Amino acid sequence: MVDFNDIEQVGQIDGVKAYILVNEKGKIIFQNIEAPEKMAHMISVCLKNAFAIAKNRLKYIYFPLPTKNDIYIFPVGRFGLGVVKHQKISNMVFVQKIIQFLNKLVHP
Amino acid sequence: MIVFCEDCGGKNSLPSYEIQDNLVIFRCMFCAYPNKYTLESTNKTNAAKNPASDEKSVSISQIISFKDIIGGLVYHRNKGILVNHMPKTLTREDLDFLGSNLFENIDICQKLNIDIEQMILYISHRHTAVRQINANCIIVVIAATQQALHQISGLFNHLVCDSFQLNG
Repeated sequence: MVDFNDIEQVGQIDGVKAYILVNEKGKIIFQNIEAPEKMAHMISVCLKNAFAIAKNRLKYIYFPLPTKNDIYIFPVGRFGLGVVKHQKISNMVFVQKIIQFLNKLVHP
Repeated sequence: MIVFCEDCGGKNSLPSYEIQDNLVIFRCMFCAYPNKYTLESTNKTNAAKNPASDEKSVSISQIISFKDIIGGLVYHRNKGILVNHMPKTLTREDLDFLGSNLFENIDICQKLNIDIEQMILYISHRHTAVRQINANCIIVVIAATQQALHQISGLFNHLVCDSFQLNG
């Protein structure tokens, strides 16, 4: 069982501008993001539909934005981790870092 | 040639000799609507060779002709699948399910964040790009690599579906 406090360390990763963790019903577990309720709703709907299509093969969902502060949603068990990327970091490096971080939590 | 009715979106087949100077005139076999419209250029080869060309209009068939693009579709909120270039292993029900789920996703996300134009799902080493064309239509493109999606992303802005009406 992964501790929520461990997941919240995602905020320490270089390139993470903001983050939010929600459960499958959209309840916020922790966040430091603008408009958290909107984001929580978006994450829960997106994950529900994406799981219906992909089941457990879903790795992440990504929303490129004109500001380059792109939004990512990573499934963490039955939870959804929303992360806003800092505009200066490359997408590929950012995704690698988050996936490595989550893998370490699951397989320490 | 497959052409689509401007009124109901129905798929009609026309012999190519009936299309002259890119002008299409036919009565829809489903709703009897008298269609008359001009096709845009659909030169696949040019677009595939030169993705950064100044072509003002792009069709979905041009987009899926790019290297590492696996398939694509256009889904309408009320009419279902309008254009299908997906692998044949997927049934009509599969595609409708895929289209309706992805439509709901991008629609809700855009209502919550107006800056969102595109959604990309990474599923089993496949990159699926979803983009809303208008209030009722989305285009879905599946690629084997992220670079392939990056290559075609600029073309989405020029997408016109030359053989059917997307508005409405």
